[in-house]
Amino acid sequence: MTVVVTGLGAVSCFGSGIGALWEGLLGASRRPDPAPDVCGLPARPHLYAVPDADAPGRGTGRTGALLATAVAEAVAEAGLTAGDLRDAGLTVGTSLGDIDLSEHGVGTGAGSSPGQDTVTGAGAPFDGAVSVPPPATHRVAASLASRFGIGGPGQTLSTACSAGAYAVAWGAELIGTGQADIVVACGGDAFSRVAVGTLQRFGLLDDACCRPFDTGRAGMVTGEGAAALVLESAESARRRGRTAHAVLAGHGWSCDAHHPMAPEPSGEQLRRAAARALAGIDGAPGAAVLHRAGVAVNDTVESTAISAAVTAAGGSPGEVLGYAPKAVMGHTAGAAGVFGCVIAALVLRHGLVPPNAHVTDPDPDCPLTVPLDAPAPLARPTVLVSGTGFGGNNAVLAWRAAA
Amino acid sequence: MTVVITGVGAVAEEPRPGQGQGEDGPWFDAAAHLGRRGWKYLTPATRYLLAAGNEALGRRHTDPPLTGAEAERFGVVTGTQYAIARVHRRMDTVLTTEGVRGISPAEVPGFSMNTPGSQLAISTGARAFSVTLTNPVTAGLEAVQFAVTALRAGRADVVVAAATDQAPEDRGGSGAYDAAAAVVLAARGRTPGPAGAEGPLAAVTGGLSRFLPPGPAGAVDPAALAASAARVAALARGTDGVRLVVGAPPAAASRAAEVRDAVAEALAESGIPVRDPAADGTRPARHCAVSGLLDLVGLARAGEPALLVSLSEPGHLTAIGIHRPETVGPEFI
Repeated sequence: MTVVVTGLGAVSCFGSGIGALWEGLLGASRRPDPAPDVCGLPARPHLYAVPDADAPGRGTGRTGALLATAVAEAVAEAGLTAGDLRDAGLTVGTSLGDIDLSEHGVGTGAGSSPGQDTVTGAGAPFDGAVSVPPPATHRVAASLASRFGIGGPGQTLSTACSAGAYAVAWGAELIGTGQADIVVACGGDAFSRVAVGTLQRFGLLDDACCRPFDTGRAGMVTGEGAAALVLESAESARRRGRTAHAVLAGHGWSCDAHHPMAPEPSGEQLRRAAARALAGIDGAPGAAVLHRAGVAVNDTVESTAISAAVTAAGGSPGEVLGYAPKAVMGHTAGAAGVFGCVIAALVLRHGLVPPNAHVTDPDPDCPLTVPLDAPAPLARPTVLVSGTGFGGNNAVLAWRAAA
Repeated sequence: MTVVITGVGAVAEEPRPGQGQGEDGPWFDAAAHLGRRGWKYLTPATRYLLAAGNEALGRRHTDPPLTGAEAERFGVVTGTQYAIARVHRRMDTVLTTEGVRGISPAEVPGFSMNTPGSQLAISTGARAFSVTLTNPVTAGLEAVQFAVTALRAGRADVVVAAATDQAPEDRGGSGAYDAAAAVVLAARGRTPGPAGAEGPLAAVTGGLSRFLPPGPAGAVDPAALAASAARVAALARGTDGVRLVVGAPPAAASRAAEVRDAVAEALAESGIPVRDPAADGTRPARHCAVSGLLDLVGLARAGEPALLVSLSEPGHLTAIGIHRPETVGPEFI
């Protein structure tokens, strides 16, 4: 069954909307801000923060608020009615959900009574007792489903930083297996004191900015954001009279089964996922939106794996334009894979790949062609999106332009 | 293509008021389940998950992981709602009081929600995929729905669908308890011979997920409830009667009863009786996201047709149908 994209939404460090995202990517100059908290470090770390985000609604944290903004844009662009959403699916990729509810005690402090559910504001204590558990932070799917009236299958996927890529792929599986005709696939993550502090404890943060293609890179920089896609079967889009932005050509999953945080050095499992995704298109894709976060080992493994898959598919890695959006928007964790898919759709729409930012000394170990100074024209209307995460959780998607 | 359950495993703390709580609680002996080495730096939720997963797979923690083609056709999907709750709070306290140096590098992976599931994948060699699902309460049965979908889509031949939770600190009086459970699901015909010493325990007739938010008065919209109940009841097609179990947090008990009544009515309209209604009915989801999977483990062992439904307080509903193992499975509803 063919799965297409009929709606896009995003809120990022560039502000709200797909337009702001595309302009920011083309500008290729954004640098991070100081984080709102010192996170246990000697100085405030960097963060690609979302400016002027909507305030969270009752019982929802910052991630939930970002997701609601992105989903609203995607649903509006797709022209979905309340009737369409009644049986639609919802897949949410997030690493930590509404973790601010835990880090700042929202929902358990002033303004909420014991036992009150943090989404609905209703509820009663478990077993009638006075004491209740703190809120589960992964209720963003419920808050979105409630807010938009999405009544079909709904899951929250938390495969660390590949969660967004998995959310899109799983949404396509729901459509492909007939469990839904339409799925809102989205991903979001907001600033987390614990995430930033622990990443720094492991030496994974760059204290300058995110530099995925520069030999001087020193790690990732976290970012906030949310992105959303409306996926639907081609038949559903045709029936509703909607124009498709992009077509899912294939997707592959794999797991390194190697280490809780480090990728398997050969990249064999990521290559396998990429090969399965590439089986849906002929030869090399026109571009690859890479997961590259500025962590040297991970970046190299990804380049090796994607290049090997392209070669095995009969293409040449040099034919592929490599792009790493994290240089200008940071690592948005569970949102990153959805951002990758939204950016792929925009690349296909505009026929351009934005320039890669913050590159003084280009990485010589990347065999892909890396645009640096200006947008590069897309030679073939196909884009690969790669997502990896802690635990070796890999998901790769291939998109082609709608006919 | 029929999906069968070839193995089950579970560890669960049962309510015992007045007992003290160790790190794992007095109910779980990690050494007995996992041996003497290799789990010291793993969180309790991870230890529970490994214990249940190993039991379901019929392996020991010290057995080598799968390799090669077999590993690439083997996946793991894990449901949890509180996997990182305690770790995250402790780390947050350390960061705000001692600073980042107070966090041991060995415990860094623990802040990520998928770490328990990833440890199970590493331990067993699951290279098809490792996915963690985190909707409260329903994530355990969602793991089964995910696994069945992946098997039917050809993404694996064998999948462990599991769930684990470590209840929050203030469980004294909360009614929430630690647990993990796992079922091994296989695509019949794509795996050599009947997995398990005695063949499959059950066939999965399908799974579904819906969202049924409570209305202002707490009740579900009747039309939406009836439509969802009809879909759930359809999972029992081909049976001559099913056991029906609906689990939900006590705060959603009244809606659980509504759902159960609606499904029973839909079954009756299809001429399918509910078996042993006095023994099943609605159950409190005491073990967080593991609750539904614990029920599934018990019913799969019983070897009878059954419908299991998990309902969360905000409104997620997940249902799984099982039948006798010789049954040929229908498609998704």
